[in-house]
Amino acid sequence: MSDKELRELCEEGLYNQAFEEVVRQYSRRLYWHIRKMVLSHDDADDVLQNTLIKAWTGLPSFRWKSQLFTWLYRIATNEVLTFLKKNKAYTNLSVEERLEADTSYFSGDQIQKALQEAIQRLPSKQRLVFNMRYFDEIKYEDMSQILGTSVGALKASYHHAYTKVQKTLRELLL
Amino acid sequence: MSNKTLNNPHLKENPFTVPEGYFEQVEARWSSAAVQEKATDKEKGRSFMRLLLPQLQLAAAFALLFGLGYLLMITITKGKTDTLQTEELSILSEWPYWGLDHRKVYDLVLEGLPEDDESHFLLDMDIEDLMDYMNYPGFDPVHLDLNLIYDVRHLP
Repeated sequence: MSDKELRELCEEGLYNQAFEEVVRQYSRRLYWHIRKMVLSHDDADDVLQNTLIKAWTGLPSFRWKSQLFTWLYRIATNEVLTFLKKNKAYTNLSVEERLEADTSYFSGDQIQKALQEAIQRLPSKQRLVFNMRYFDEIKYEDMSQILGTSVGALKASYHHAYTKVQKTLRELLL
Repeated sequence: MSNKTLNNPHLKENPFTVPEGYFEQVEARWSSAAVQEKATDKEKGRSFMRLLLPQLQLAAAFALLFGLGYLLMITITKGKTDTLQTEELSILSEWPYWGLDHRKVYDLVLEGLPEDDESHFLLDMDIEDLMDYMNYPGFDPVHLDLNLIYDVRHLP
């Protein structure tokens, strides 16, 4: 269902029906966006639920001036950053330690684990930019709307992040 | 060497997995019916608050009135006590003329008479009896131990 059709449902007051469609269309993308940041499945599930609650509550007041998916990503990103701030002690652990409790939901090999380690060493906002661009290939213009940062700043941030990750990855795989 | 760089397409693959049927569960949790239920619960919560709010406002108004009344009462009582003390002290300050220690009398007035005091018979005398007693031939009022008289009501 397109944004236009979802908007029509909302304008008719059929928010529940519209939201069911929103969840069906976007929950997977939102989940992976969150999961790459928090790593653990349980934490990702919690953050996703909070994101969906906020989206459901905010849907009636959404003005449809931006794309629905950028709005949803913005909510998810805020929820992720809040989670990371609240759980600083936990997120300071190495990827190895954090994945230990979640081994059944990580199927990556050594090089993929090393990449996750390198990404986790980035500051949280740079990590967001890197994940969104490298894995999800989101356009800078959309990222700009989601993160509220200029395209130029995002390009610079991604360039720094890419260089750092590349360097760390080489060191880890020596 | 190239597979150790970010250009390696394998690195873009998702290494994470989820429990089986996880996304279906998420969708079921947020299905139209479930969302409707959540909305109803939320509305119920709102309705309850809507009913409770006037009662809370009334209780708050009563608490405020009670608090103001209590403050007012304390202020008035305090002023009255101060006035009484001043008046009593001014009356009692005239007593040294009668050979009384006004501080002692004042303390006794406040504390009450001791139960074993033998001079209580004086309390039963009215002012005429007292005058008769004082006019008794051979009685010199200067020798009267007025400190024995505790009840100020019998004094002029």
